[in-house]
Amino acid sequence: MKKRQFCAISKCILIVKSINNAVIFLLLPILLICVFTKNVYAAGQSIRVSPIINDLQLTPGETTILNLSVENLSDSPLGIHAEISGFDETGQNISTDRHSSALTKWTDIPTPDIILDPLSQKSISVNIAPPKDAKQNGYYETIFLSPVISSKKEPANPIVLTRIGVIVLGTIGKLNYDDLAKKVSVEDFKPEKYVFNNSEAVLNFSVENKYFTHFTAKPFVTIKPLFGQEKTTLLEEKRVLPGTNKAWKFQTALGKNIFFKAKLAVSVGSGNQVFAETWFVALPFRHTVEIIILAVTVLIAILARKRIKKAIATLFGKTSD
Amino acid sequence: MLKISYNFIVKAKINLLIGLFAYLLISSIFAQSVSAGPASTNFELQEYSFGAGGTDTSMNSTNFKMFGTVGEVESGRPFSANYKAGSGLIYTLKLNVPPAPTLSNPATNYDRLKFVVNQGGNESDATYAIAISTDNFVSDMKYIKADKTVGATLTTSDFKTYADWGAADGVFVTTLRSGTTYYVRAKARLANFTETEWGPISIGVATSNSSLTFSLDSTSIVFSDLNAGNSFTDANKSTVMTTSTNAYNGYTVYGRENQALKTLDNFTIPNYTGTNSVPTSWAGTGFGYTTNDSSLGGTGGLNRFADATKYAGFITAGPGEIVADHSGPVQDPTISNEQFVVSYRVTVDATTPAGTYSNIILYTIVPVY
Repeated sequence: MKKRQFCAISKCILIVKSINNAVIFLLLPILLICVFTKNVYAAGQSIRVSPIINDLQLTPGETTILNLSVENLSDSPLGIHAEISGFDETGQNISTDRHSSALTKWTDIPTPDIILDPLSQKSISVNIAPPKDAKQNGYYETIFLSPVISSKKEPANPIVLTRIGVIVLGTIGKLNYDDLAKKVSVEDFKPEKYVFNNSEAVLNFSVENKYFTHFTAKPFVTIKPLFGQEKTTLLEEKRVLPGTNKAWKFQTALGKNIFFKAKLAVSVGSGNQVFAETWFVALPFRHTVEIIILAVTVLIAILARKRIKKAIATLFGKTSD
Repeated sequence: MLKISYNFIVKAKINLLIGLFAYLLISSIFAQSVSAGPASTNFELQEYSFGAGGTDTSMNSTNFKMFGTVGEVESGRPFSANYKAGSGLIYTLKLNVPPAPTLSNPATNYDRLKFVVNQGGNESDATYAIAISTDNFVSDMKYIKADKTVGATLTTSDFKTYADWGAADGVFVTTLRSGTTYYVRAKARLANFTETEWGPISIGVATSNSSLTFSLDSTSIVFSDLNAGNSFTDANKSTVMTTSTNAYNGYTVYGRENQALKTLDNFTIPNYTGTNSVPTSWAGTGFGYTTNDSSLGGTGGLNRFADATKYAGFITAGPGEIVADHSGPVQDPTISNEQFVVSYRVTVDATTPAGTYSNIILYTIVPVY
């Protein structure tokens, strides 16, 4: 009897084990796929931050909350420290370290230090509270997120650290695109030279912003040959901060035409555009023309050599009998 | 004489009136029979000449009234939830109502979406206006302007041809808000008096959020012991940077150090004398770096590090100097797992005091705005 019971129990155990094995056999590949499809960075640092460019409409006297999602993509825990920094507003320069900005005084990060488990994500809240008397203007800052690594007090090797900058572009005041278009100007829209020797032209220009806040400049350059079809090219869009300018360099192939008109339309948003025009000449065969002119001159000189000799003689007061 | 004449005139008038009535009666009878149009048991199309209007008596039944001539519509879709076959001369002049444009976010963009106009059988010279909404056109309706930005008003210049709207490739509409779902619809016109109604609404497509992923393969640099056997040189250590981002204008990585390589006793290995704008082939001693970014921004030329064969020394001032970057525009595709390698070299002379030298190297990555 006991033997029978033992056999039944053994069979049950065997069945359960088989089911377990089957389940493991089925689940293992799924588990492996899940593990290996995610980018995992061992021994280093890897973080993902979103959003990194924040165009915010701010209201005086009201708090705007910006939630930054920070994800640790490495297989070890990671401390993150958030730090408020200023912003370099010098236009072409995109550096972002510790320049004074009114926005930094209005910004608070209640929990600037967080610890992220491996492959986990958390949010860092950034509170921006402009005072009630904050003036209509564009306000800018950078929030740096730095992974914190545990290191010895006396490091034996150079340590490598990272920081990710999150850009905050704030505006107080209502943006009026008609007024904006009047405050934006195109500067120095002209070719690098007015006569190009080859079949490629280079045009330069910059866009200056005298409005109270930033905007995105979207330039369209149209090249129209004297004979032939015009061609419009959309260039890279760039944000132009107030009181600054940004520059573009446009290089284009010209084809077989000689005279060209270039039209620039810079969109400032909502269909409003600022325009400029210039012209240039392309002589890809200029050297050939020069050689032909020289050859013709020489030929004329040979054919009219007697007359030329006579003219020279007359010039120097010698007369032939 | 006068009396006879008066009677004659009265009689003539009566005869004339009778004649007129008779003519009207006869002509109306004949007119009806002449103008009788195609008919069936229940219907008769009474007015069917070109451009004829008609009234609600022209052609009707309990459920049906015909108010004018039948317009031409695209084959196969006279009526549905989104379309109707317009009747009357004006509809024969109108273009086909364009189907919903195809809206997409092909590269996880955060401030732009791509749309492709669907012509709906119209000819290539037809022009199209595009409306855009964040609430499926319940209360929010704006327009895609000719410059592909979003504006509050629609003008004639915002009607563009299929080719102008990028043909089959489509174009990106910009100045959108991140993390927001948008819908679009189109209408067509050709010259005057041909503008259609707004067509059906596209599916909603959301813009993404801007994001940036930055990874370093290691958090320290372990140089070999420097001795006569390796000519007091180690040039085999490096840091691999991996970046993914959808930032339209790209990104820049700045490198700097907190100090020169230094021991606790304040012995230092000076920074290499080459600079970021004028890196040089290695000569002499020091601690320096090079980068394999052959299209590096800043001053000094794009490939000034000559494919990681020329060196510069780190500076300590923030934000540092550019060691890797990716300039814009980054639209489609976005940057995914782009790698740059910053390699280090340290060379000392035999008189350098023995010791453990260290410092902190900081790489700062910022999206270009």
